[in-house]
Amino acid sequence: MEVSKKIKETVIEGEKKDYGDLIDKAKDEGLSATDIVDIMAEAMDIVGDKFDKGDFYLPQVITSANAFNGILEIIEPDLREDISGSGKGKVVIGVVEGDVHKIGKNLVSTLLDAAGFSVVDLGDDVKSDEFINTAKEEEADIIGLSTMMTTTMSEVEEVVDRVEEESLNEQTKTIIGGGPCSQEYANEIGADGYAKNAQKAVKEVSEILEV
Amino acid sequence: MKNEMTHLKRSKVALKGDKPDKVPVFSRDLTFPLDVVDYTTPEVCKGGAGGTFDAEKSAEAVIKSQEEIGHDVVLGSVWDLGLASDVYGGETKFPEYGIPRVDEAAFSDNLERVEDVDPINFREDGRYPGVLESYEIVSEEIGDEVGIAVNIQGPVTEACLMRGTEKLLMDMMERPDLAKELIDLATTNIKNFIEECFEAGANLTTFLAASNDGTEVLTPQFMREFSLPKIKEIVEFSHDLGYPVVFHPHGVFTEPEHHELVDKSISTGIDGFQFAEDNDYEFAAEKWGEDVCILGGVSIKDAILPGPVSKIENEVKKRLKDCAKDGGYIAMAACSLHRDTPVENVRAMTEATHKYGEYPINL
Repeated sequence: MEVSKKIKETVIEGEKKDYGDLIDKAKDEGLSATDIVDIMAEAMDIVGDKFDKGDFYLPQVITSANAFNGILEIIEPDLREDISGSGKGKVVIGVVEGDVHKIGKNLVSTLLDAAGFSVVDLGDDVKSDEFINTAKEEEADIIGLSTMMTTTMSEVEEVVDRVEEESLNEQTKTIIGGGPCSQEYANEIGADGYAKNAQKAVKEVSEILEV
Repeated sequence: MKNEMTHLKRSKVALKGDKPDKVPVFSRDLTFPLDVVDYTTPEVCKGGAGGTFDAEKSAEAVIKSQEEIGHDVVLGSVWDLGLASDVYGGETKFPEYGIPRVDEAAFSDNLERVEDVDPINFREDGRYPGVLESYEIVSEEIGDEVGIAVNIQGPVTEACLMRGTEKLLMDMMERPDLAKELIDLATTNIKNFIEECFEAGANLTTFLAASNDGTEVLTPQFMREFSLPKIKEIVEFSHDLGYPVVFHPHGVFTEPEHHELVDKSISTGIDGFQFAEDNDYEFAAEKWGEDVCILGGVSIKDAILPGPVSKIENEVKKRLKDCAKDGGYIAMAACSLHRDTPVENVRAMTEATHKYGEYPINL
């Protein structure tokens, strides 16, 4: 099997192994780090589609994301040399204060990374101040806000409000996601975008930034 | 509005699949009662002697919430998700007016430790003695009239709280035997807790709050392998004590590919199924309404949180029309209720159910 197909299959199947040999072979065949990321991005697209259609469930997506991150870790030094500039745009992402459900946010983070965005992942239980200050420092194009709990939806709204109050909204757009969120809710609180799952989050960010 | 039955009787009849005088309401208000009495979260959840659970304040919150809202079924105590993890060395955060959350799961760094720990002694360990005392007070004060349910996590859900969801999912794939040991421990604790709560005065049903036991987190195969056998064990245990079981896994089970999982859940012997957000409740009642009591259906994200009252009334009416006409329906939100949920909206759900849900229902 040609090495690009093998990389793609490794990510889709979420194979856990020493990825060093695979990457060495890829390099021997002349693939650059960015080529490998492109192949993995295609694989994660397929994984996202399968999740969207109900063919894949959360554990399968997590293993794929783990394989993606495992390979990424190996090629990261080469990748830094390959990529100049900030890619498609910068996204500051996190789970809002009071909520520690981070699986969905982690997947969005991985897929955005795979799609060529620069991601600043703040983790979970993130205070609104931290979202705003980081967005300012990093000159973020997008703030991604995640919550899985109805009871922390007000935190999402608070960050969206503060983006507007502090006049960040010319530079920085907001996108929300997680179980209780909806397009209706995004419209109601004035968020710029909503995504039902990780796959759609990448699409939404790309559309907002027109990249 | 006629009150031909007590809250308790009404709820028992509906759980059996029959028609009571009117459709009962179970608000499954975990931390919501704290807003009714305006206590802080740490004040109740760890404000008792020695940093334990304050039984008296918890019971007061539950009772006043029932008086204020008028629902038919309460839990015997305010409830948070860190209780078991704390016993095994985990850490729970208690925001002043927020919802307690597991900050450090007990087995997050070392699952092997599960082989060396004992089941929880609920009369002695952690904050549980206060929880059980709250059940006793609630039972003594309102237990003759009002249904008191035992709320406890499902087996995989409880194991996730003790290990961390992502880690447990990886364990299920990479070292399933060890994952099963943790789920076995969770199951033993769940059964023992159920027994203690009924002894402490719970009088209606076991409610398995099983968000991570469903397809929102598990594959169908994982649900069949790791969760449902344990659900069956818990159901048989609760039935032996004389009480029914309601199962509430998260996932869209009205999608065709998941129907067999509902059928398999029902074959464990459960008596009620609370469908979560985004399910087709009319379909659920039509397909499974003769086999189990259907619970839930009032959307938290679209109705109870944002309101207004008229929207909640409309949603309640739709559910009553779709699910309640032949009996065997208990109105509740699509999931549990916590702090910061508008009290007037929860009251609106209860009042609308009792107003429009009087049998025979003509909607």
